[in-house]
Amino acid sequence: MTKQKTQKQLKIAIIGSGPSGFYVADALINSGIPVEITLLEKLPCPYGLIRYGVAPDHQKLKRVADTLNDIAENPSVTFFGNVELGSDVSLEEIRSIYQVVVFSNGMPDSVSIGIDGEQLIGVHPCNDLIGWYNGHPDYQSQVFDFDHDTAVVIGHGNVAIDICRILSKSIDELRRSDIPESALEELAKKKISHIHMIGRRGPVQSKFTTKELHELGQLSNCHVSVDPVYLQLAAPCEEELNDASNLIVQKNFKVLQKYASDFSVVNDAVKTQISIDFMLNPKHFMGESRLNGICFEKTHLEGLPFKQICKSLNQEVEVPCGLAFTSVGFKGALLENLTLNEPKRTLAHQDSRLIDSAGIVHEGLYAAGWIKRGPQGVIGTNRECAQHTVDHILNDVPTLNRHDGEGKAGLQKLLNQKNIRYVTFDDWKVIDKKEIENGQALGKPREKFVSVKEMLACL
Amino acid sequence: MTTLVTDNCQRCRFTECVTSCPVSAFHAGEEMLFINPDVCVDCGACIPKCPVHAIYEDLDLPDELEEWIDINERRSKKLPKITVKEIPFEGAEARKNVLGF
Repeated sequence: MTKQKTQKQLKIAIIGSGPSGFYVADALINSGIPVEITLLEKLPCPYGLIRYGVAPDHQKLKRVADTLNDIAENPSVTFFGNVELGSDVSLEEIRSIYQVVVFSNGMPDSVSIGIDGEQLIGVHPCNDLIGWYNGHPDYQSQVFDFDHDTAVVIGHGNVAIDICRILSKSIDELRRSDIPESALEELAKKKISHIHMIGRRGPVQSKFTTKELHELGQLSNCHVSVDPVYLQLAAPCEEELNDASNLIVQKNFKVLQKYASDFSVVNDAVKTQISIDFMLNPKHFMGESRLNGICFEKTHLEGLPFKQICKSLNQEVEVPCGLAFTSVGFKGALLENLTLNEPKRTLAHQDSRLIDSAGIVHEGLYAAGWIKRGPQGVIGTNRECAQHTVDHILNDVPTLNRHDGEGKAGLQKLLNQKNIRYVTFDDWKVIDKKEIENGQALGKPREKFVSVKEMLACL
Repeated sequence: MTTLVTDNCQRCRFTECVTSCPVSAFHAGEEMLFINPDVCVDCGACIPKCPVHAIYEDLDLPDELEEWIDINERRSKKLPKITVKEIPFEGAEARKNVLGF
């Protein structure tokens, strides 16, 4: 303890205030060394994908924000919202003020599916829809035409399931979520009666979590079906399924078997049909200027268990549809002067320490979360990932260049000089309170402000 | 919807699960861990972490383990939180083999 009292405070800036950023802060607080932590956020509001990625009808999962709130309330932590790295402050400026900078800025962009017709009206990357219905300020200019019978969601993960669920729930159910009124108005026009969720590999390779897959079957106005033919597995898939490491896949398979057992049941006309289709690789989107269908190629898997490669067969299948969402992955934003691994644009790092293209470590720069390991895992995975990052920072502390950067006082000074209106955590609490009040009047958990201007206007 | 720890944790107590809990919902008993259902958000991150498959969501909980729903609720609220991984019980690996994992 005596040693700690004489130790100088380590001044750390964390870029991005999603779960990963908060869990890095938490691990630093719990490390026992004296720290002064700044969370830098480009929006006026914290929580990243908890606010803008977790589906608006999954309010229980959004309660993770309560834990993040507690971390923000720790006296070692200061939140600076509405400050963007690059346009408002440069990395050089941040490095001159802080001894350690941790990038936990996530992966804001959708991976392009890279096939013809992607530009057609009616084809959207999943991010555009998710950002829009979650009220993210950057996605409010998106336009969706829900006046179609059939929609296709390409991808077999939880993001695809979220989209299926939101597209199939009744507008009255959606009104109980925190989808903003502006989006509800558009969603009220939807006429979708059939959703195909299509993946290029098989049921054993899909990335769902069981709860989400199971929940689809529980929706009151949906009928979920799987063609039993997809569940007849070849030997390598059977081996993958039965492997002890594949617990989640085994559970998912049972749920899929249940959906397959209902395959021949005649559908009720009032219900939305959700068909889960496997082994179809999208080849091109069809239509002149508007989407009217997708051409897929049937696929098969080749190779040893867990090393199977998906190959296209020369058999085309056309799925007519007016609306398509591609959910085939995320990628990071470009960051000036930092080396990224294409195509996913994770930051190049070695044990969480950022490195340049020659493999030389950038002293004092680290990464955590999706921008470090890619877009995988659930929220909790980021806590573990953040702990690893902090373990490496702690190892480096004795040799770090402990320049006399002023930390948050220096940043405050800099932002004031530049006349940047930063948002404090107390400011955020004002915005938060107002959103909850506005929501109560509408019988929903909150009514989000969907522009930065509106958020700042209530301060 | 709830997520809970069942008896496979006894005599193992690997505690791998606590490192991935986003809301610190685990509580430490001497014999095993428990999840506080009021805090847990059912994200499922802990389930694949358990080397002996002790953690279930209620939707796939075998009937014979149903009593553990109440036990988790009751015990978690009387025990301290656990957020850092601890050393497993001696013999945990052997127990894991016996359980077939």
